[in-house]
Amino acid sequence: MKTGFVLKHLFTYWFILMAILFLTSCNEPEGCNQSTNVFLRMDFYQLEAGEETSYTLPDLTVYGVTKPDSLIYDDVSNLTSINLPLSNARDQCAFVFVSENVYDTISFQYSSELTLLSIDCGFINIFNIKKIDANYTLLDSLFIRQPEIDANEEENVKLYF
Amino acid sequence: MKRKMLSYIFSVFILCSFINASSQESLDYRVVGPRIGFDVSRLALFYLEPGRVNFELSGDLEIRELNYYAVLEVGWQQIDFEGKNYNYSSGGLYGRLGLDYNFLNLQSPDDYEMLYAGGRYGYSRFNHQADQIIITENYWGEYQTSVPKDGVNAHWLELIVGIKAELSKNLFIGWDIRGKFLLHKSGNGVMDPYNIPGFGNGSRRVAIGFSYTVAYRIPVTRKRVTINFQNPE
Repeated sequence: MKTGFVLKHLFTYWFILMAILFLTSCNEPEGCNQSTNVFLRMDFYQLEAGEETSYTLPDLTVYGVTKPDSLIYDDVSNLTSINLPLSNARDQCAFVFVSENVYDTISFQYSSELTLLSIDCGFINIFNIKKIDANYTLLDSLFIRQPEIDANEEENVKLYF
Repeated sequence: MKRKMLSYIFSVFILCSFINASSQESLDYRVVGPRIGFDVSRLALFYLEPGRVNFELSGDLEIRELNYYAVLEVGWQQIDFEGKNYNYSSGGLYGRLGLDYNFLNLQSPDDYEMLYAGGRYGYSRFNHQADQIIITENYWGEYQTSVPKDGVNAHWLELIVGIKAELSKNLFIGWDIRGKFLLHKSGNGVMDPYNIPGFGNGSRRVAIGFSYTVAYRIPVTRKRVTINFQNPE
């Protein structure tokens, strides 16, 4: 057996290797640093002479058609957009909009895809809007801007009043 | 800081290339046989990453005349942990095949120490799944689902630098650091693997790994070889 160059430096350079690995591991982010809430975001607009401007509905109340006793928004007046939760267990949801005693119902059909957001953040369902129907009593028209609904809180649907 | 340390390591290689004292040809015997190693750094995972178990064996064989070593590494990994809203499990095998090149000039016929660089092709076949996924949504209520077992194949390439020394007759110790570059991974696309056995982080295409190996050379035969070795000065 020969005791040479390598053996002499084996343990010295081991510490350098450990230091590199330590510094590398320090760059690993820990914990979940992003939103995991998935909401359908709808913004309110009004068209005036072809110009699109933000709009607020007076005394707005919103609830799920099957859950009239559980309100998502309760008599609010200063919102230009709302976030609605979609059911993870089903592929359709309907919501009732009430403003100054005028009722409208908007229903959504969608697909969902289970996605691992990250190891720390866990799983979320990403939805994809297939179809929207409404009674158009409050609502004038609508436009699907971004059919994919994820945790990025981007505008998904434009509602025109 | 990192750059400074890296330059320090690579300076070793440059230093070695200048170790070229007067050499002469000698006819002598050299022990030949496969070297079987166990990566003891994997044992640290028991403490660093509870829920992850990884064992790795390696074997290499000297091709002396060319200064090359043929290398085969095989391993097994099992991971079980509880995530934020799910339970995850993964298990599978991996193997790597490649070559190492020893930069050191021999100082005597019985000098087996190495300062080497090498390359590997890696392949892993494993399953992973997630159970008890609970997606909490306050208005409509909780939703529970699972991701069924999914078989994944992964291929990657590695570049390695390392050193090995003979502590006592036929007993070796050494370490290496390696850069890994993912070529391909299959899967259902629902979730990235938490960790690809033998590669590392399953959501990245580049990974850094290291090993600290204790190895025993099985002295199969003594081979008569002609080598160039350095005269001690």
